Amino acid sequence: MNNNALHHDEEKLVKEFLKTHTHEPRPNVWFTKRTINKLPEHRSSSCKIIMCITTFLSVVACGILLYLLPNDIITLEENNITRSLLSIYTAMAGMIILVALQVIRLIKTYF
Amino acid sequence: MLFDDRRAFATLVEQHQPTIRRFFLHQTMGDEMLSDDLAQETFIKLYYSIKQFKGLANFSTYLYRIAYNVFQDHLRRNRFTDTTDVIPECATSTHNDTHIDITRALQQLTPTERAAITLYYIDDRKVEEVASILQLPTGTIKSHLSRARNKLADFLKNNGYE
Repeated sequence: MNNNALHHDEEKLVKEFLKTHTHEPRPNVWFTKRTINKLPEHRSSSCKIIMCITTFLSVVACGILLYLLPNDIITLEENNITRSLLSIYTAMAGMIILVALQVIRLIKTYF
Repeated sequence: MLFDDRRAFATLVEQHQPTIRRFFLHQTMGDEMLSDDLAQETFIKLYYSIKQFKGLANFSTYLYRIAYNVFQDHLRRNRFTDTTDVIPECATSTHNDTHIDITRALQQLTPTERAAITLYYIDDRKVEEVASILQLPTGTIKSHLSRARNKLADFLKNNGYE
């Protein structure tokens, strides 16, 4: 048997085997629904812009608060120091939460 | 297609899911759960990247390219777990002898050969399309197909399929 004939026979054998023995996935009625449920929450582009601007403004506001309040502490009475410190901690916590939320959203979106 | 139109995307998933799941079923050698997970990952990646699809290539080729990349990522993630000698549990427990035979036959091949042979013989794609999906030159695909064909033919002859 020459090479061409051998090649032809092998081709036929493999082709027939794969055509008749192929795996067929069992019908899965939930597949599409599950896939759609895994898609990210829909947000319009204007919504994304508003979210970005709000986050940016909040971070700037918290930053300004953090910068201004420590100067006032020195001049305030003892009771007010606690109040000022609380404001600082609140501003810091707010800023950290905002940044963390944005980072989590970024990770969820791209990874 | 409207990119955020979930109903349109669901139709697209419904239309292409049988072939993508079948592709993964052959790559994973019959592991249905893994195939479904990888197919879902493929469609989610498609959802994110569909805006990049310019319509220059066939949509099906584009989708299969994503699927193949998802499978390559899966192999990379599990590179320390050698599964080449193990027939997946579900393949042995839920399929008949016919499917175990094709599983064993496909085990003779490397992942690239398996992908090439599946796309060429089962999905009836041209060599150029296979090359585009696997992102390899057509000459390399022909070599892979030839090697895979020889390995499969030997396996089949040794197991009485003549």
